[in-house]
Amino acid sequence: MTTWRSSAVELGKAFRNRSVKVADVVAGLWAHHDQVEPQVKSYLTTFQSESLAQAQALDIQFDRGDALSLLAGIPIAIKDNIHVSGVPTTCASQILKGFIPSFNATVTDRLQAQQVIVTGKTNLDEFAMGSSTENSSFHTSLNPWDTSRVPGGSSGGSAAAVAAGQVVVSLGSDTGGSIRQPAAFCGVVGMKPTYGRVSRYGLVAFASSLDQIGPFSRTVEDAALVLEAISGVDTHDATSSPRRSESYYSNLKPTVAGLKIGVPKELFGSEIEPGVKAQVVAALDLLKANGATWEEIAMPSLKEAVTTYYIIAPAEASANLSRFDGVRYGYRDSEADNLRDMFRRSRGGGFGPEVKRRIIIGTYVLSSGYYDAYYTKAQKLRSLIVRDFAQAFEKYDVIMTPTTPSVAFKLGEHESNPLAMYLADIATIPVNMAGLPAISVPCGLDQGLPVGLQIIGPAFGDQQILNVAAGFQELSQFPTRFQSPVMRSAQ
Amino acid sequence: MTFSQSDLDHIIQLAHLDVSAALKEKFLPQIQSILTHMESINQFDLTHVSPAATAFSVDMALRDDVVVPQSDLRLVENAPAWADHSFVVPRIL
Repeated sequence: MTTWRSSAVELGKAFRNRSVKVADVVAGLWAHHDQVEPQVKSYLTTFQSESLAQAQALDIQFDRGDALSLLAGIPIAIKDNIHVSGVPTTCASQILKGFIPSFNATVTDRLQAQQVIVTGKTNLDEFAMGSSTENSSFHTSLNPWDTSRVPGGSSGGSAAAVAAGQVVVSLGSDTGGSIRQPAAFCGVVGMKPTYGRVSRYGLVAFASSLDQIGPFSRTVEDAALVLEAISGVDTHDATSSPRRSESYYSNLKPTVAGLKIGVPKELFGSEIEPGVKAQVVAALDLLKANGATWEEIAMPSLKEAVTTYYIIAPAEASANLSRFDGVRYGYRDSEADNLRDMFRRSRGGGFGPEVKRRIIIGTYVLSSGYYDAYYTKAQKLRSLIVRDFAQAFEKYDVIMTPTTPSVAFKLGEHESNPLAMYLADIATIPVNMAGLPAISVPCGLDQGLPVGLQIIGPAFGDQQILNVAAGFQELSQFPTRFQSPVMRSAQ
Repeated sequence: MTFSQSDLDHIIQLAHLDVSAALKEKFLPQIQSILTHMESINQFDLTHVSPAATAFSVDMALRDDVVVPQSDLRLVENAPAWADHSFVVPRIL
């Protein structure tokens, strides 16, 4: 039976053959949401009444046989650093509290053109800086597999909402792993497309050379369907690629036999917890048993990717966040008696500790006397990371790693040690540094918590990694095997 | 490379940030530790490597340079203070 638990593809078919009404699915979704949101806290804003009204209007269109898109009527949540015109974008920051954008992000425009139902804006680490949502200035989202643990971040709300069954699909943004890491922690599919594949217009910038928007879903087909809708060139984002966008969903072809897989030993050593490694090896062996081959390879620069990232990303962030000064939008300290004082006090009062820490690091590595020692060196190291990946793809079709070194950690576990939190992104960061596409799919459980398998492709090999992920999905049946307790508990 | 209290104060001033004394006390050892970790990039010989601002070059997607009329009100509706077609700020000096 098709219900709010079903995939977007299943729902789309059922809406078409009228075996289920959009309004019933949306009402069922909100009834479930009301039960589980206090446990998970995925959202910052919800659009319950608007989504129900939209669902009823869509049912009229379906009833009269209008030709609607495959995504028409599909509930989708959007990370709260992506603009939806007329509703608040907070970036989970006090500095943007009350800010209402007057335009849509391009991804929002493209999804609304397909008549999706936007259910709300999801929680994140402030300005997408973090790996747990603990840096949100509003609240911390919780992992639907174990609510004493984090859902990952920064797109933790988007991942938790899909894993908890509060929404069918969602959007996140990924600068160093912010889609793939929470997808792994929450046992769902999360994809970072190739840099330039999806327009960043209307995404509040964190690190402009690394940011990319992508989907969360419970199946690979749904990820392909959403990516197909949001990708493509956009003249509002000069870095969006003019390469023709592909029909990722209709061209989806599960692929395993004959696949050559490289596994970088730098991301498969002692930094990976044994239980996580065991699940990833089991997944690789499952692929091998079905005609793929895998072997460990050396990619020496990857070990320094995290260091490179934590120079380049804060440097770009310190420049991007200079626009928040209390003049044109956002929080302004009203006590300041001169302009400089207003900048300092507004930014001091509006930004949280992690954002301040990163602005300080970014300002330092860009400052006179330190620019070459840090920033230029990091950009050179980035060239080596790009080269290592290019060489690996001469021999291998895809590269696979654990998405994260551990399963979801406990709330507060890394609170006093930001470096430990940064190192949790060891496997996802190299992908952003090289601008490549990568997808995380659930591959097993360790300590009863999901483990993610990361599949990395060459630049613009988005279809290729979706095909491999679909092949793995066919073999492992992960959508039915791995459902969070919060979703399973629904009446 | 050492990062001192005066370095921290200088950078905070450059970044136009108000940071409480308690937060500065917390940040100093954390940032020192992060910067020490960053020195590991010196193990690579990067003499003949070119810096990369982006992962790969892409043809820029440019639009025609056409003026699109916009309402002042929409552009400034989020402004903390607005009057006579201007953003209002405290005195500059």
